[in-house]
Amino acid sequence: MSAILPPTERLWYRHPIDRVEGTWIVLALVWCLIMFAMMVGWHVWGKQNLSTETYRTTPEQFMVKAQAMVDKYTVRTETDLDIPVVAPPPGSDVYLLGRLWSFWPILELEKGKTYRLHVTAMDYNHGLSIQPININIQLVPGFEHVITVTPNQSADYSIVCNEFCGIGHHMMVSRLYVK
Amino acid sequence: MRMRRNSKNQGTKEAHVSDEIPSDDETAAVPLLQQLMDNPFLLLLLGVFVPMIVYVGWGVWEILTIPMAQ
Repeated sequence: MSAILPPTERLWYRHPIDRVEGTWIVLALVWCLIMFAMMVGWHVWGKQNLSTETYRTTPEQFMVKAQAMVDKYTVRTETDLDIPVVAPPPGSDVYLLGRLWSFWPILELEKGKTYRLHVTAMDYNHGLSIQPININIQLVPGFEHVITVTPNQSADYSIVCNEFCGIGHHMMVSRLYVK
Repeated sequence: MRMRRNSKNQGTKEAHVSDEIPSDDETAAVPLLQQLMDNPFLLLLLGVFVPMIVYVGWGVWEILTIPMAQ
C-alpha cells in the first residue's frame, strides 16, 4: 500500500509490532545509548579540548591580577619585547593574556605541580595553542577561562596564536617553560 | 430452495478481524501516542521547539549567567 494513505486499521498503534522491527528498535536504542555515554566518556578519556571554568571579566580587572603576579614572581625577561618570565609558586593562580600581538607574560612552571591558569584576551579574539601537545583554548575579551593544569613533562613548549587577529597574527608566538 | 445470501458474509472479514486484533475496535479510545503520530502539525511544533529550547535556549541562558570573576 502507498505510504501516503492513512492506515487501514483504526487503532494502528495497537497492532502488534513485528519481531524484526522490534529487534531493530532495540539494537538502534542500545547503540544510541552507547554513543550518548561516549560523549561523556570521550571527554574524560579522549585527548580533547579541556573543559574550563568561565567567568566574566574586563581587561582592566584581569591586568591588575596579572600585573600583581608579574611584580611578585618575575625571574628575568626574554625576547626583544622584554616580556617578563614568571615562576609562580605551585598551587597558585597564574595569569596569561593575549593581546595584539603577543602573549604576556612567559610562564615557567614546575613538572608535577598544579596551577590554576587564568587566560583572557585584551582586545580581540586570540587563540592559545600550546604545541606540540596541542592544547587549544580561545581567548575571548570580556571572558576569563580558568584551567587547572598539572604539567607532566618537562620541556619548552611553544605557544602560537591560532585565531586570526590582524596583520601581526603571524608574529604572535610565545613559549611556556616546564622545569 | 432459494439460497439466501448471508448478509453477514460481507462484513465477516472485518468483524472477524476486529474480534482477534484490537486495532479495529470501533469503540475503544485512540491511544495517546497514536493521536500524536497522526497529528503532523503537533509533530512539527515539537520538532521545532524542543531542539530550540534544549540547544539554543539552554545555551543562551548559560552564557547570560556566566558569573563575574573574583
